[in-house]
Amino acid sequence: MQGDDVPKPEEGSARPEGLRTRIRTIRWISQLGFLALFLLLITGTVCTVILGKGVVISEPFGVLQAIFAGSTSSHPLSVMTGTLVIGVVIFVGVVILLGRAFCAWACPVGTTIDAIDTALQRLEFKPFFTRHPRKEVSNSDGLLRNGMNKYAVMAAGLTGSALFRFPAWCAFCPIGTLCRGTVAGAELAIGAEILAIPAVGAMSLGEKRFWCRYLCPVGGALTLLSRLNPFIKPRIRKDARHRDCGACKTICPEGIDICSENSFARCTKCFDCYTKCPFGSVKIALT
Amino acid sequence: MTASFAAVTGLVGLADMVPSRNLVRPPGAIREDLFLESCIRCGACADACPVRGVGIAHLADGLRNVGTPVLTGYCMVFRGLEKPSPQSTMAWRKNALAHGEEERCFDCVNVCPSGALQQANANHLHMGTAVVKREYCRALRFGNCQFPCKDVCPYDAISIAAGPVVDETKCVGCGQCDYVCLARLIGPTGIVVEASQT
Repeated sequence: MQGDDVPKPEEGSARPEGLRTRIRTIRWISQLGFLALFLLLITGTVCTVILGKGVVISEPFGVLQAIFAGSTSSHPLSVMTGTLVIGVVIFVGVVILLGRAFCAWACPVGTTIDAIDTALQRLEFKPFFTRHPRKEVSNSDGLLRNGMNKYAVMAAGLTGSALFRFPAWCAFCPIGTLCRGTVAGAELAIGAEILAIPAVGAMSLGEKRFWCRYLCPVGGALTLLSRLNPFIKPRIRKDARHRDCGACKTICPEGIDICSENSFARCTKCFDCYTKCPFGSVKIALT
Repeated sequence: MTASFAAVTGLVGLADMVPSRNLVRPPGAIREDLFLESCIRCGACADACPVRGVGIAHLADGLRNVGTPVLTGYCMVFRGLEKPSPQSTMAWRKNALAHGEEERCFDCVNVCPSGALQQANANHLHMGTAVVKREYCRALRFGNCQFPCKDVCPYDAISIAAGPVVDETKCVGCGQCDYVCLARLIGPTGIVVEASQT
């Protein structure tokens, strides 16, 4: 990604206590920086960021949709370019290095949800329903709170693309909608399109980052890919005084129980567990 | 899980029943049906356009068009026509005669990562066709106009009878005539580019 040089506390395993309190601030700076970049400086969407002449980073779910859309046409794959393929390869490389860090550090929709959420907390807004505590997601946990839902949305996007012959999810994607909000001439997104953002915000009333955790297909694609990522994972300290209290489950935006999880593919590298563990038992392991 | 799958697929199907408009695409766009399936809606072309002529279509243009580029302003086509006016076209034409070549812009084509805009198509440029609107054209309404549309056209596609007449074989749909139309001062312009119906 261009233009944002916020240092990420990746090697934070043995840092002094001061950093622990500052990670969230650094993350806010990164998030707002990327928000400004995506909304104000880049006209297009984040899905494909042009780095230079013929060099792009492209998000694989969008490219997959284009492939599926073209799969039923009379000229399948006639216009797929090498640029896009290389773009996807670069994207996969970044995900291998950083995992799902995009979700917590750069995604404009994630930033918007976080901002809404923080505002509601500051205003001490009490929703008319009880806020759902976060817990580990199982795959049969109900209609919406279901860990597999984002893959269902992904599959639906691909099916829709193949059936109706256009990248179907792109028309609804809140990330795209938010980025398209300011296009050439600062024209605002109109009508029902703009509802995508309040809808995603409203979902976070019931549970923090509800959209990102259960429904976002881009997050789904990132989760699938970040199985390949071996770096920067939260671990329980060997000398931890306390284990299995379940606090990390409710702290983690993805509901990961650090004590028992093995893969950490869902981890968004937000370091909330590191910052907020009541016993200071979590460290960030580089590998 | 099955429910979310069905819900999203159904949503796409339902929303797709709203008819999509034909839009004027940036230069070099491939056949419309192929364009819709291969354009990845990244907006890079809109970002690259030096005259901010390329915008992004919204839901009002139909679900299929959401996020695709649409020529909302004008396309300068040749370097030197950044701000269309009869004077700039005259200067550009003189310059082209003197140097024997015209430098084309096509920044959008060069930046497109998906192949939805292609150089091969850009050489046989056809974005749309200018259509004279009888009810707004000053010449046809009031009988007085200096016809900047005729003078600005880099392709000499407009001739003058009672009002402007567009030669559809020469017109590429760049929209510079629309930009300079004097009716713009009082309301809708008297000449607009319309997408081809194919």
